[in-house]
Amino acid sequence: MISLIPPYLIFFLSAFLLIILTKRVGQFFLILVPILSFLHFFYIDCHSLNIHFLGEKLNILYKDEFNLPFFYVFTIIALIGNIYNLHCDNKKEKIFPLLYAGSSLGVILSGDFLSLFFFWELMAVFSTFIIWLSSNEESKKAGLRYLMIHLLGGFFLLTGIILLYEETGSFTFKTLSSDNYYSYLILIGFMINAAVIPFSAWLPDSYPQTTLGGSVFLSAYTTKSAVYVLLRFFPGWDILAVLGSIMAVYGVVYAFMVLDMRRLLSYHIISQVGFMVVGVGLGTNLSINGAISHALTNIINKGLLLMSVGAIVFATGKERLNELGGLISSMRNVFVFYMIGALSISGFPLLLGFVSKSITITASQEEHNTFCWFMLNLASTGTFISVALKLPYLAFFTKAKDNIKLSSIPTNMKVAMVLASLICVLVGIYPKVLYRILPYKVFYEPYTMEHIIFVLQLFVGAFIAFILYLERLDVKNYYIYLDTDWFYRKTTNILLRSFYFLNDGYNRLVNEVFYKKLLFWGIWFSKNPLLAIKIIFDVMLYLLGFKKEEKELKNIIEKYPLDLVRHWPIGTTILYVTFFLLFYLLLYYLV
Amino acid sequence: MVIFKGKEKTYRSLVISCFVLVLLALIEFTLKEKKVHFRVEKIPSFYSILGFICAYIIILITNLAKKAGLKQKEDYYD
Repeated sequence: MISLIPPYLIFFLSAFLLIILTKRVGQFFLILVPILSFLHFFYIDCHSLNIHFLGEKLNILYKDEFNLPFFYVFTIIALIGNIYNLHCDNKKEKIFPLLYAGSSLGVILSGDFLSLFFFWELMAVFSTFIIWLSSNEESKKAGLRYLMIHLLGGFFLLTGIILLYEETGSFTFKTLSSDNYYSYLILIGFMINAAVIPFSAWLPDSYPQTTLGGSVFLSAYTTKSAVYVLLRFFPGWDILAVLGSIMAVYGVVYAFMVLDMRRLLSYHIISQVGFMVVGVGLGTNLSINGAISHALTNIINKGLLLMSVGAIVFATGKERLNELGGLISSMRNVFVFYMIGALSISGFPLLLGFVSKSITITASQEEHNTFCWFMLNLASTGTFISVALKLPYLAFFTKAKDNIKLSSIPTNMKVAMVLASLICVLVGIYPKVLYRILPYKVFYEPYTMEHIIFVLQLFVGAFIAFILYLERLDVKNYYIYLDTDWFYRKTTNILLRSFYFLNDGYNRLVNEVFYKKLLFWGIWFSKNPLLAIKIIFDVMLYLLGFKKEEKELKNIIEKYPLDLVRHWPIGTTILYVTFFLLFYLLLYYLV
Repeated sequence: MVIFKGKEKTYRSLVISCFVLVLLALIEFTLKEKKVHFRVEKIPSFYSILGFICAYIIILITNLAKKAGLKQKEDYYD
């Protein structure tokens, strides 16, 4: 019976249990859940679990060589993230990440399109709640924008899935071909979650707005699960290789510009996902191995970087690099953790990034794809100068700021950083652990003399360029940098403003014309209707040039309404009434 | 050395970097046969040049992007 429980269900049930548990028991539980889920997955000996829903057979648990590596790393980062979050008093900060991690596991363990869509949407909802955990105005707005974009992605995905079902009559997984138009709809849905340009701006807009622990979780799941589905359904799509190359460079360009630490790392996520998307686009066994291994190592690397930066924010209360400086003397251990993550993600030998990043670059070389190869090298250099040089230089080595008061970092945060650092170093030294879980058995040896020398040369060359530029690095003032979200943030703003303007204009028109002017003229007219008609008629004649006596006209207007009785004796009124009755009588008989 | 007056740290970093580059070039020179995919990779210290050029391209793009109007004040969207 227990084998029928999918691992993600353990996350969901635990999240509900956390509501009633005390803080101490809850902390123990948070550590236990990922371990339990990990072990339980081995206990399940079946590779597929089906349920019947609305007459359809749905595969709610699917195990193969593609999703297994993702499952391992998703549970490992859930454990590290939970440890990082242990000190939090707000239960929501522990519950929502569990639900989010559970739904991400659901995405990678789904065996059909409908189950995948269900968990896909759950993931969007729970990640929005994580963004809202900060409870400030900015996070509320960013969360709403995030939700809108992801619901749009979900709409594309659902439309594609429905059209696929209409054609094939089943929700079963299959590699999607470029001949079917629904493939493109599904692709757009996946591309939005993978932050592929031009759908990437939601990521740096929302990830820095959440809590420190929330950022660690967000960086791990949404984009990587999207990479997983791209790998499963769209391997070898050339357009992905091109878009991936562009986003790899685009991410580091923005990372080099911004001064907000978590925003810098968020932009860098886009760059790193670019490497994975290139791997999907190239579509060879080596490149797919490269994309998967880079996704897995990136989860740990980026988690470590965000945890280290989170520790700086926790201790100083400051997020912007122009407000920080001189932290090396007071936060030496955080510096060490950060540099392990930064050098690892840059691809420094003996660290995790070195053994994964180079696979995709080698795959592009083997395919003789010069464009991808150059762009990925450009992105690697950009990673090194923005993440491993700029951020640590400004935070740790510039002149110390007087107004920084440091608070101590909780032990659980340090433990989480130690765990991630250990993985970075150990797997970096012994990469076979990683290569063994990859789907394709392709020989790849990262530790060759020329590879190590080439990588070191690349970094030293970039270091010299950075040193020469250092004096001109502008960090005095904080600026924002416009991204593709400008199109929907500014246009909706303009649309709303124009709507308010039109609405306001309409209200004013109604008020001025109907309530003020019309009423005024109505009252004026009713004071002496016949004379009013005469005046209007005379004015018209005057304006048309038939009447010249301006003085007389002015005199009548000034004296209006005159004396009704004297000017229009009762006999005249009776005459008019008689004419009116006669007209009515004629009308009655004729019509 | 006049241009590095008051920038001793920068000067020192540059000297060390150049020393490392020479060392790496010497090690590269000792390799019997370089396993390369593109012809340009055969140029001695090619990756050092590539690293320098790539870093400058990134810096150049960021400067151009700032000048092109991407850089805005914090309250831009308010």
